[in-house]
Amino acid sequence: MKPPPFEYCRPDSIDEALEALADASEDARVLAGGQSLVPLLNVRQVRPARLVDINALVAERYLTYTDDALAIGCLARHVDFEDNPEINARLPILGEAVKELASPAVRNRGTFCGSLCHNDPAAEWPLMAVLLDARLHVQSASGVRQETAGGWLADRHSPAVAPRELLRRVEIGVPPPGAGWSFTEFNRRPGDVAIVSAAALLTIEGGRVASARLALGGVDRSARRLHQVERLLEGETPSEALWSAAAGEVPALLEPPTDLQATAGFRRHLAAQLTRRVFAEAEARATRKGT
Amino acid sequence: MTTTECEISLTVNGEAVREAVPPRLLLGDFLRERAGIAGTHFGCEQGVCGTCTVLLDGESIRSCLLFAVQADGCEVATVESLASDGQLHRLQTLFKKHHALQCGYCTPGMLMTALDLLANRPPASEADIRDGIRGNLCRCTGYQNIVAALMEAAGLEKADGAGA
Ligand SMILES: Cc1cc2nc3c(=O)[nH]c(=O)nc-3n(C[C@H](O)[C@H](O)[C@H](O)COP(=O)(O)OP(=O)(O)OC[C@H]3O[C@@H](n4cnc5c(N)ncnc54)[C@H](O)[C@@H]3O)c2cc1C
Ligand code: FES
Ligand code: FES
Repeated sequence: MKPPPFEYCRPDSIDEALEALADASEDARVLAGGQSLVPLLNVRQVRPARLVDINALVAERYLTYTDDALAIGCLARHVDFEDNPEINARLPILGEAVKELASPAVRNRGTFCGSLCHNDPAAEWPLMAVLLDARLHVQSASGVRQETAGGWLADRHSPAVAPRELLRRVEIGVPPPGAGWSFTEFNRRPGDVAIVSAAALLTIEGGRVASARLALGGVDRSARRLHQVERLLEGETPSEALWSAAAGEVPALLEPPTDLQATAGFRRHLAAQLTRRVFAEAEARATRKGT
Repeated sequence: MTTTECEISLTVNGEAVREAVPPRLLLGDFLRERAGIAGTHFGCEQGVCGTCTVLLDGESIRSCLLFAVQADGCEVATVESLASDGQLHRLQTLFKKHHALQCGYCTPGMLMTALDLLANRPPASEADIRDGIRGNLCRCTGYQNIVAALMEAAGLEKADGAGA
Protein backbone atom coordinates (compact mmCIF):
# COMPACT_ATOMS: atom_id res chain seq x y z
CA MET A 1 0.00 0.00 0.00
CA LYS A 2 1.21 3.53 -0.73
CA PRO A 3 0.19 6.92 0.72
CA PRO A 4 -3.04 8.46 -0.57
CA PRO A 5 -2.74 11.60 -2.73
CA PHE A 6 -2.46 14.92 -0.94
CA GLU A 7 -1.73 18.54 -1.71
CA TYR A 8 1.84 19.41 -0.77
CA CYS A 9 3.31 22.76 0.19
CA ARG A 10 6.61 23.78 1.72
CA PRO A 11 6.28 27.32 3.06
CA ASP A 12 9.33 29.52 3.63
CA SER A 13 7.90 31.45 6.56
CA ILE A 14 5.73 30.85 9.61
CA ASP A 15 3.08 33.21 8.22
CA GLU A 16 2.85 31.27 4.98
CA ALA A 17 2.63 28.02 6.95
CA LEU A 18 -0.24 29.34 9.09
CA GLU A 19 -2.01 30.59 5.98
CA ALA A 20 -1.62 27.23 4.26
CA LEU A 21 -3.11 25.55 7.34
CA ALA A 22 -5.95 28.07 7.57
CA ASP A 23 -7.07 28.16 3.94
CA ALA A 24 -7.14 24.42 3.26
CA SER A 25 -10.61 23.31 2.20
CA GLU A 26 -10.41 20.17 4.31
CA ASP A 27 -8.09 18.51 6.82
CA ALA A 28 -4.59 20.04 6.64
CA ARG A 29 -1.70 18.68 8.64
CA VAL A 30 1.77 19.80 9.55
CA LEU A 31 4.53 17.53 8.23
CA ALA A 32 7.47 17.83 10.63
CA GLY A 33 9.89 14.88 10.97
CA GLY A 34 7.30 12.57 9.39
CA GLN A 35 8.42 9.72 11.66
CA SER A 36 4.91 9.17 13.03
CA LEU A 37 2.78 10.74 10.30
CA VAL A 38 4.29 8.96 7.27
CA PRO A 39 3.90 5.44 8.77
CA LEU A 40 0.18 6.28 9.16
CA LEU A 41 0.00 7.63 5.59
CA ASN A 42 1.76 4.53 4.28
CA VAL A 43 -1.13 2.38 5.52
CA ARG A 44 -3.73 5.05 4.71
CA GLN A 45 -4.83 5.25 8.31
CA VAL A 46 -5.01 9.02 7.81
CA ARG A 47 -5.96 10.87 4.61
CA PRO A 48 -5.22 14.57 5.04
CA ALA A 49 -6.15 16.74 2.07
CA ARG A 50 -3.04 18.90 2.47
CA LEU A 51 0.39 18.51 4.04
CA VAL A 52 2.20 21.64 5.15
CA ASP A 53 5.89 20.69 5.27
CA ILE A 54 7.68 22.87 7.85
CA ASN A 55 11.17 21.55 7.12
CA ALA A 56 12.20 24.68 5.21
CA LEU A 57 11.68 26.83 8.34
CA VAL A 58 15.29 26.32 9.40
CA ALA A 59 15.20 29.28 11.82
CA GLU A 60 12.79 27.20 13.95
CA ARG A 61 15.46 24.58 14.60
CA TYR A 62 16.88 25.79 17.91
CA LEU A 63 17.42 25.00 21.58
CA THR A 64 17.96 28.28 23.45
CA TYR A 65 18.25 29.03 27.14
CA THR A 66 16.93 31.82 29.29
CA ASP A 67 17.73 32.02 33.04
CA ASP A 68 15.30 29.34 34.06
CA ALA A 69 13.99 27.76 30.88
CA LEU A 70 14.93 25.96 27.72
CA ALA A 71 13.06 27.02 24.56
CA ILE A 72 12.62 24.35 21.90
CA GLY A 73 11.72 25.41 18.35
CA CYS A 74 9.29 23.37 16.25
CA LEU A 75 12.08 22.10 14.02
CA ALA A 76 14.42 20.98 16.84
CA ARG A 77 15.06 17.32 16.11
CA HIS A 78 15.62 14.44 18.53
CA VAL A 79 19.28 14.28 17.43
CA ASP A 80 19.84 17.83 18.71
CA PHE A 81 19.43 16.53 22.28
CA GLU A 82 21.95 13.70 21.77
CA ASP A 83 25.42 14.10 23.34
CA ASN A 84 24.69 17.80 23.75
CA PRO A 85 27.00 19.22 26.47
CA GLU A 86 24.67 22.08 27.31
CA ILE A 87 21.66 19.78 27.67
CA ASN A 88 23.74 17.38 29.76
CA ALA A 89 24.76 20.25 32.06
CA ARG A 90 21.36 21.92 32.50
CA LEU A 91 18.75 19.28 31.76
CA PRO A 92 20.58 15.95 31.88
CA ILE A 93 17.28 14.10 32.15
CA LEU A 94 16.56 15.05 28.51
CA GLY A 95 19.95 13.67 27.47
CA GLU A 96 19.08 10.39 29.22
CA ALA A 97 15.61 10.21 27.70
CA VAL A 98 16.75 10.68 24.10
CA LYS A 99 18.98 7.61 24.39
CA GLU A 100 15.84 5.49 24.71
CA LEU A 101 14.13 7.16 21.79
CA ALA A 102 13.94 5.08 18.59
CA SER A 103 17.12 4.68 16.51
CA PRO A 104 19.65 7.08 14.95
CA ALA A 105 17.94 7.45 11.55
CA VAL A 106 14.58 8.22 13.21
CA ARG A 107 16.28 10.71 15.56
CA ASN A 108 17.88 12.48 12.59
CA ARG A 109 14.39 13.52 11.38
CA GLY A 110 11.83 13.37 14.21
CA THR A 111 11.09 16.55 16.17
CA PHE A 112 10.39 17.24 19.83
CA CYS A 113 7.25 19.23 19.03
CA GLY A 114 6.02 16.57 16.59
CA SER A 115 6.26 14.03 19.38
CA LEU A 116 4.09 16.21 21.65
CA CYS A 117 1.53 16.55 18.84
CA HIS A 118 1.50 12.83 18.09
CA ASN A 119 1.22 12.20 21.84
CA ASP A 120 1.94 8.52 22.10
CA PRO A 121 1.04 7.59 25.71
CA ALA A 122 4.48 6.08 26.37
CA ALA A 123 6.68 8.46 24.34
CA GLU A 124 9.65 10.08 26.07
CA TRP A 125 9.09 13.77 25.22
CA PRO A 126 5.49 14.02 26.46
CA LEU A 127 6.66 12.41 29.73
CA MET A 128 9.40 15.04 30.05
CA ALA A 129 6.96 17.82 29.16
CA VAL A 130 4.54 16.92 31.97
CA LEU A 131 7.35 16.30 34.47
CA LEU A 132 9.01 19.66 33.75
CA ASP A 133 5.78 21.71 33.49
CA ALA A 134 6.37 22.65 29.86
CA ARG A 135 4.60 25.66 28.36
CA LEU A 136 3.40 25.27 24.80
CA HIS A 137 3.13 28.18 22.36
CA VAL A 138 0.47 27.33 19.85
CA GLN A 139 -0.02 29.55 16.81
CA SER A 140 -2.67 29.78 14.13
CA ALA A 141 -3.77 32.38 11.59
CA SER A 142 -6.15 33.74 14.23
CA GLY A 143 -3.57 34.23 16.97
CA VAL A 144 -1.25 32.76 19.59
CA ARG A 145 -2.16 30.96 22.76
CA GLN A 146 -0.32 29.22 25.55
CA GLU A 147 -1.06 25.83 26.98
CA THR A 148 0.42 23.77 29.77
CA ALA A 149 1.75 20.35 28.84
CA GLY A 150 -0.63 18.67 31.28
CA GLY A 151 -3.68 20.37 29.75
CA TRP A 152 -2.61 19.91 26.12
CA LEU A 153 -1.70 16.23 26.41
CA ALA A 154 -4.58 15.11 28.59
CA ASP A 155 -7.06 16.67 26.20
CA ARG A 156 -5.88 14.88 23.16
CA HIS A 157 -5.90 11.37 21.87
CA SER A 158 -3.13 10.11 19.67
CA PRO A 159 -2.53 11.58 17.12
CA ALA A 160 -2.99 14.85 18.92
CA VAL A 161 -3.17 17.58 16.35
CA ALA A 162 -5.09 20.73 16.86
CA PRO A 163 -6.58 21.31 13.40
CA ARG A 164 -5.03 24.27 11.58
CA GLU A 165 -2.69 25.06 14.48
CA LEU A 166 1.09 24.96 14.70
CA LEU A 167 2.90 24.07 17.90
CA ARG A 168 5.61 26.64 17.35
CA ARG A 169 7.69 26.48 20.51
CA VAL A 170 7.87 24.69 23.84
CA GLU A 171 9.48 26.08 26.99
CA ILE A 172 10.71 23.75 29.64
CA GLY A 173 11.56 24.93 33.15
CA VAL A 174 15.10 24.07 34.25
CA PRO A 175 14.84 22.34 37.65
CA PRO A 176 16.36 24.25 40.61
CA PRO A 177 20.07 23.59 41.22
CA GLY A 178 20.55 20.55 43.42
CA ALA A 179 17.30 18.87 42.37
CA GLY A 180 17.69 15.11 41.99
CA TRP A 181 16.24 13.53 38.86
CA SER A 182 15.65 10.13 37.38
CA PHE A 183 14.14 8.63 34.24
CA THR A 184 13.63 4.98 33.41
CA GLU A 185 11.49 2.87 31.15
CA PHE A 186 10.63 -0.76 30.62
CA ASN A 187 10.50 -2.14 27.10
CA ARG A 188 11.17 -5.43 25.33
CA ARG A 189 13.93 -4.18 23.03
CA PRO A 190 16.03 -0.99 23.19
CA GLY A 191 14.45 1.69 20.99
CA ASP A 192 10.94 0.30 21.22
CA VAL A 193 8.28 2.56 22.60
CA ALA A 194 8.12 1.88 26.35
CA ILE A 195 5.50 -0.33 27.95
CA VAL A 196 5.69 1.82 31.09
CA SER A 197 8.00 4.77 31.73
CA ALA A 198 8.62 6.88 34.83
CA ALA A 199 10.43 10.09 35.74
CA ALA A 200 10.91 11.94 39.02
CA LEU A 201 12.33 15.19 40.39
CA LEU A 202 13.18 15.67 44.05
CA THR A 203 14.48 18.52 46.19
CA ILE A 204 15.61 17.85 49.74
CA GLU A 205 15.96 20.56 52.41
CA GLY A 206 16.68 20.17 56.11
CA GLY A 207 16.65 16.41 55.70
CA ARG A 208 13.11 16.40 54.32
CA VAL A 209 11.48 16.25 50.91
CA ALA A 210 10.88 19.90 49.93
CA SER A 211 9.26 19.06 46.62
CA ALA A 212 8.59 15.92 44.62
CA ARG A 213 7.33 15.32 41.10
CA LEU A 214 6.34 12.01 39.56
CA ALA A 215 5.33 11.42 35.93
CA LEU A 216 4.31 8.09 34.39
CA GLY A 217 3.88 7.04 30.76
CA GLY A 218 2.12 4.05 29.24
CA VAL A 219 -0.50 3.90 31.97
CA ASP A 220 -3.18 6.18 30.55
CA ARG A 221 -4.22 7.90 27.30
CA SER A 222 -1.21 10.19 27.67
CA ALA A 223 1.73 10.76 30.00
CA ARG A 224 0.56 12.17 33.33
CA ARG A 225 1.67 13.46 36.72
CA LEU A 226 0.67 11.78 39.96
CA HIS A 227 0.00 14.78 42.17
CA GLN A 228 -1.54 12.67 44.94
CA VAL A 229 1.71 10.76 45.39
CA GLU A 230 3.76 13.96 45.16
CA ARG A 231 1.77 15.59 47.98
CA LEU A 232 2.16 12.52 50.14
CA LEU A 233 5.95 12.82 50.03
CA GLU A 234 6.37 16.51 50.81
CA GLY A 235 7.79 17.09 54.31
CA GLU A 236 8.69 13.43 54.81
CA THR A 237 12.15 12.04 55.50
CA PRO A 238 13.62 10.39 52.41
CA SER A 239 14.18 6.66 52.82
CA GLU A 240 13.75 3.38 50.97
CA ALA A 241 10.64 2.79 53.07
CA LEU A 242 9.16 6.12 51.94
CA TRP A 243 9.71 5.30 48.26
CA SER A 244 8.15 1.87 48.75
CA ALA A 245 5.16 3.46 50.43
CA ALA A 246 4.82 5.92 47.53
CA ALA A 247 5.06 3.04 45.05
CA GLY A 248 2.36 1.21 46.98
CA GLU A 249 -0.08 4.07 46.36
CA VAL A 250 0.44 4.08 42.59
CA PRO A 251 -1.49 1.03 41.27
CA ALA A 252 -4.84 2.10 42.73
CA LEU A 253 -4.54 5.51 41.05
CA LEU A 254 -4.19 4.05 37.55
CA GLU A 255 -6.53 2.54 35.00
CA PRO A 256 -4.05 1.37 32.40
CA PRO A 257 -5.04 -0.33 29.15
CA THR A 258 -4.60 -4.02 28.36
CA ASP A 259 -3.14 -4.58 24.90
CA LEU A 260 -0.82 -6.90 22.99
CA GLN A 261 2.19 -5.54 24.89
CA ALA A 262 0.98 -5.96 28.45
CA THR A 263 -2.05 -6.47 30.65
CA ALA A 264 -3.39 -3.71 32.88
CA GLY A 265 -2.18 -5.67 35.91
CA PHE A 266 1.37 -5.93 34.57
CA ARG A 267 1.37 -2.21 33.81
CA ARG A 268 0.26 -1.41 37.38
CA HIS A 269 3.03 -3.63 38.72
CA LEU A 270 5.63 -1.96 36.48
CA ALA A 271 4.39 1.51 37.43
CA ALA A 272 4.89 0.75 41.13
CA GLN A 273 8.35 -0.77 40.63
CA LEU A 274 9.54 2.07 38.42
CA THR A 275 8.16 4.66 40.86
CA ARG A 276 10.26 3.21 43.67
CA ARG A 277 13.32 3.13 41.45
CA VAL A 278 13.07 6.68 40.11
CA PHE A 279 12.61 8.18 43.59
CA ALA A 280 15.56 6.20 44.98
CA GLU A 281 17.77 7.33 42.11
CA ALA A 282 16.56 10.94 42.32
CA GLU A 283 17.35 10.91 46.05
CA ALA A 284 20.89 9.69 45.34
CA ARG A 285 21.38 12.56 42.86
CA ALA A 286 19.82 15.30 45.00
CA THR A 287 22.04 17.75 46.85
CA ARG A 288 20.92 17.95 50.46
CA LYS A 289 20.44 21.50 51.62
CA GLY A 290 20.29 22.83 55.17
CA THR A 291 21.39 19.59 56.79
CA MET B 1 0.55 23.97 -3.83
CA THR B 2 -0.50 20.90 -5.68
CA THR B 3 -1.40 17.24 -5.77
CA THR B 4 -0.06 17.11 -9.29
CA GLU B 5 3.55 16.60 -10.19
CA CYS B 6 6.30 18.75 -8.68
CA GLU B 7 9.57 19.36 -10.44
CA ILE B 8 12.50 18.38 -8.21
CA SER B 9 16.24 18.44 -8.71
CA LEU B 10 18.61 16.62 -6.44
CA THR B 11 21.93 14.82 -6.47
CA VAL B 12 21.88 11.04 -6.30
CA ASN B 13 25.28 9.45 -5.72
CA GLY B 14 26.96 12.53 -7.13
CA GLU B 15 24.81 12.78 -10.26
CA ALA B 16 22.29 15.53 -10.84
CA VAL B 17 18.75 14.24 -11.31
CA ARG B 18 15.74 16.26 -12.44
CA GLU B 19 12.28 14.71 -12.40
CA ALA B 20 8.63 15.57 -12.05
CA VAL B 21 7.14 13.54 -9.20
CA PRO B 22 3.77 13.29 -7.46
CA PRO B 23 4.07 14.53 -3.85
CA ARG B 24 3.07 11.14 -2.43
CA LEU B 25 6.00 9.32 -4.05
CA LEU B 26 8.33 8.05 -1.31
CA LEU B 27 12.06 8.70 -1.75
CA GLY B 28 12.80 4.95 -1.74
CA ASP B 29 10.30 4.35 -4.55
CA PHE B 30 11.73 7.33 -6.43
CA LEU B 31 15.22 5.81 -6.22
CA ARG B 32 14.11 2.36 -7.28
CA GLU B 33 11.55 3.20 -9.92
CA ARG B 34 12.48 6.61 -11.29
CA ALA B 35 16.24 6.81 -10.80
CA GLY B 36 16.58 3.13 -11.66
CA ILE B 37 18.93 2.22 -8.80
CA ALA B 38 17.48 -0.66 -6.87
CA GLY B 39 20.08 -1.24 -4.13
CA THR B 40 17.85 0.47 -1.58
CA HIS B 41 15.30 -2.06 -0.32
CA PHE B 42 11.88 -1.68 1.24
CA GLY B 43 10.83 -4.04 4.02
CA CYS B 44 8.21 -2.63 6.35
CA GLU B 45 7.49 0.90 5.05
CA GLN B 46 6.95 1.80 8.72
CA GLY B 47 10.42 3.00 9.70
CA VAL B 48 11.00 -0.14 11.75
CA CYS B 49 13.29 -2.47 9.76
CA GLY B 50 15.93 -0.02 8.49
CA THR B 51 16.67 -1.72 5.17
CA CYS B 52 15.61 1.43 3.26
CA THR B 53 18.18 3.63 5.06
CA VAL B 54 20.05 6.11 2.82
CA LEU B 55 22.07 9.25 3.53
CA LEU B 56 20.41 12.63 3.04
CA ASP B 57 23.04 15.37 3.13
CA GLY B 58 25.29 12.95 5.00
CA GLU B 59 22.80 11.81 7.67
CA SER B 60 21.05 8.46 7.75
CA ILE B 61 17.30 8.61 7.17
CA ARG B 62 14.49 6.21 6.33
CA SER B 63 13.67 6.51 2.64
CA CYS B 64 10.23 5.01 3.35
CA LEU B 65 9.38 7.97 5.62
CA LEU B 66 10.47 10.83 3.37
CA PHE B 67 8.73 11.98 0.23
CA ALA B 68 10.90 12.49 -2.85
CA VAL B 69 9.71 16.14 -3.03
CA GLN B 70 11.30 16.70 0.37
CA ALA B 71 14.71 15.74 -1.05
CA ASP B 72 14.53 18.59 -3.56
CA GLY B 73 17.90 20.38 -3.48
CA CYS B 74 19.54 17.67 -1.33
CA GLU B 75 22.30 15.14 -1.80
CA VAL B 76 21.19 11.53 -1.53
CA ALA B 77 23.68 8.69 -1.18
CA THR B 78 22.67 5.03 -1.55
CA VAL B 79 24.60 1.79 -1.24
CA GLU B 80 25.58 2.16 -4.90
CA SER B 81 27.80 5.10 -3.91
CA LEU B 82 30.15 2.87 -1.92
CA ALA B 83 32.11 0.87 -4.48
CA SER B 84 34.07 2.80 -7.07
CA ASP B 85 35.97 1.66 -10.15
CA GLY B 86 35.05 -1.94 -9.40
CA GLN B 87 36.67 -1.68 -5.96
CA LEU B 88 34.57 -2.45 -2.89
CA HIS B 89 34.41 0.17 -0.16
CA ARG B 90 36.36 -0.75 3.01
CA LEU B 91 33.10 -1.42 4.87
CA GLN B 92 31.95 -3.80 2.12
CA THR B 93 35.30 -5.61 2.22
CA LEU B 94 34.95 -6.01 5.99
CA PHE B 95 31.38 -7.30 5.63
CA LYS B 96 32.70 -9.88 3.19
CA LYS B 97 35.64 -10.82 5.39
CA HIS B 98 33.46 -11.32 8.49
CA HIS B 99 30.55 -13.01 6.69
CA ALA B 100 28.34 -10.15 7.82
CA LEU B 101 25.64 -10.96 5.27
CA GLN B 102 23.70 -14.01 4.19
CA CYS B 103 20.65 -13.19 2.08
CA GLY B 104 21.79 -9.56 1.86
CA TYR B 105 18.35 -7.99 2.16
CA CYS B 106 19.28 -5.90 5.21
CA THR B 107 22.79 -5.11 3.96
CA PRO B 108 22.22 -1.82 2.07
CA GLY B 109 20.56 -0.32 5.14
CA MET B 110 23.19 -1.74 7.48
CA LEU B 111 26.00 -0.24 5.39
CA MET B 112 24.42 3.21 5.15
CA THR B 113 23.60 3.18 8.88
CA ALA B 114 27.19 2.15 9.62
CA LEU B 115 28.55 5.01 7.48
CA ASP B 116 26.53 7.52 9.52
CA LEU B 117 27.57 5.83 12.76
CA LEU B 118 31.30 5.89 11.96
CA ALA B 119 31.20 9.46 10.65
CA ASN B 120 28.78 11.18 13.03
CA ARG B 121 28.56 9.08 16.21
CA PRO B 122 32.00 7.43 16.49
CA PRO B 123 31.52 4.25 18.55
CA ALA B 124 33.87 3.69 21.49
CA SER B 125 32.74 0.17 22.34
CA GLU B 126 30.83 -2.87 21.14
CA ALA B 127 27.84 -1.55 23.09
CA ASP B 128 27.93 1.68 21.05
CA ILE B 129 27.97 -0.34 17.83
CA ARG B 130 25.03 -2.48 18.87
CA ASP B 131 23.21 0.67 19.94
CA GLY B 132 23.99 2.33 16.60
CA ILE B 133 22.45 -0.48 14.53
CA ARG B 134 19.51 -1.14 16.83
CA GLY B 135 17.12 0.27 14.25
CA ASN B 136 18.21 -2.23 11.57
CA LEU B 137 16.77 -5.72 11.54
CA CYS B 138 18.65 -8.72 10.15
CA ARG B 139 16.79 -12.01 9.99
CA CYS B 140 19.80 -14.11 8.95
CA THR B 141 23.08 -13.39 10.68
CA GLY B 142 22.16 -13.02 14.33
CA TYR B 143 24.10 -9.72 14.15
CA GLN B 144 27.31 -11.23 15.53
CA ASN B 145 29.28 -10.99 12.31
CA ILE B 146 27.90 -7.56 11.45
CA VAL B 147 29.12 -6.33 14.83
CA ALA B 148 32.51 -7.98 14.21
CA ALA B 149 32.84 -6.19 10.86
CA LEU B 150 31.94 -2.86 12.40
CA MET B 151 34.31 -3.42 15.33
CA GLU B 152 37.17 -3.77 12.88
CA ALA B 153 35.93 -0.80 10.83
CA ALA B 154 35.92 1.34 13.99
CA GLY B 155 39.34 0.06 15.05
CA LEU B 156 37.96 -1.57 18.19
CA GLU B 157 39.04 -4.84 19.79
CA LYS B 158 36.56 -7.25 21.31
CA ALA B 159 36.73 -6.95 25.11
CA ASP B 160 36.90 -10.72 25.71
CA GLY B 161 39.49 -11.16 23.00
CA ALA B 162 37.24 -13.60 21.12
CA GLY B 163 37.27 -11.53 17.92
CA ALA B 164 35.80 -13.03 14.80
C1 LIG C 1 10.67 2.89 14.07
C2 LIG C 1 10.22 4.02 14.94
C3 LIG C 1 10.45 3.94 16.30
C4 LIG C 1 10.04 4.99 17.13
N1 LIG C 1 10.30 4.89 18.47
C5 LIG C 1 9.95 5.90 19.29
C6 LIG C 1 10.26 5.88 20.69
O1 LIG C 1 10.88 4.93 21.21
N2 LIG C 1 9.85 6.92 21.45
C7 LIG C 1 9.19 7.99 20.91
O2 LIG C 1 8.86 8.91 21.64
N3 LIG C 1 8.90 8.06 19.60
C8 LIG C 1 9.26 7.05 18.77
N4 LIG C 1 8.97 7.15 17.43
C9 LIG C 1 8.21 8.32 16.93
C10 LIG C 1 9.15 9.52 16.66
O3 LIG C 1 9.68 10.01 17.88
C11 LIG C 1 8.45 10.69 15.95
O4 LIG C 1 9.50 11.52 15.50
C12 LIG C 1 7.50 11.56 16.76
O5 LIG C 1 6.52 10.79 17.40
C13 LIG C 1 6.75 12.55 15.87
O6 LIG C 1 7.57 13.63 15.51
P1 LIG C 1 7.74 14.04 13.99
O7 LIG C 1 8.48 15.32 13.99
O8 LIG C 1 8.33 12.91 13.26
O9 LIG C 1 6.23 14.34 13.59
P2 LIG C 1 5.37 13.99 12.30
O10 LIG C 1 5.38 12.54 12.04
O11 LIG C 1 5.76 14.89 11.19
O12 LIG C 1 3.93 14.43 12.83
C14 LIG C 1 3.24 13.71 13.83
C15 LIG C 1 1.88 14.38 14.05
O13 LIG C 1 2.01 15.65 14.69
C16 LIG C 1 1.60 16.72 13.84
N5 LIG C 1 2.61 17.77 14.00
C17 LIG C 1 3.96 17.59 13.96
N6 LIG C 1 4.60 18.74 14.27
C18 LIG C 1 3.62 19.66 14.53
C19 LIG C 1 3.65 21.03 14.94
N7 LIG C 1 4.81 21.68 15.17
N8 LIG C 1 2.46 21.66 15.12
C20 LIG C 1 1.27 21.00 14.90
N9 LIG C 1 1.21 19.71 14.53
C21 LIG C 1 2.36 19.04 14.34
C22 LIG C 1 1.52 16.12 12.45
O14 LIG C 1 0.54 16.78 11.68
C23 LIG C 1 1.14 14.67 12.76
O15 LIG C 1 -0.23 14.54 13.00
C24 LIG C 1 9.38 6.12 16.58
C25 LIG C 1 9.17 6.21 15.20
C26 LIG C 1 9.59 5.16 14.38
C27 LIG C 1 9.34 5.27 12.91
S1 FES D 1 11.20 -0.07 4.76
FE1 FES D 1 11.85 1.77 5.66
S2 FES D 1 12.32 1.11 7.66
FE2 FES D 1 11.49 -0.69 6.80
S1 FES E 1 21.52 -10.95 5.75
FE1 FES E 1 19.48 -11.62 5.47
S2 FES E 1 18.38 -10.12 6.58
FE2 FES E 1 20.39 -9.64 7.09
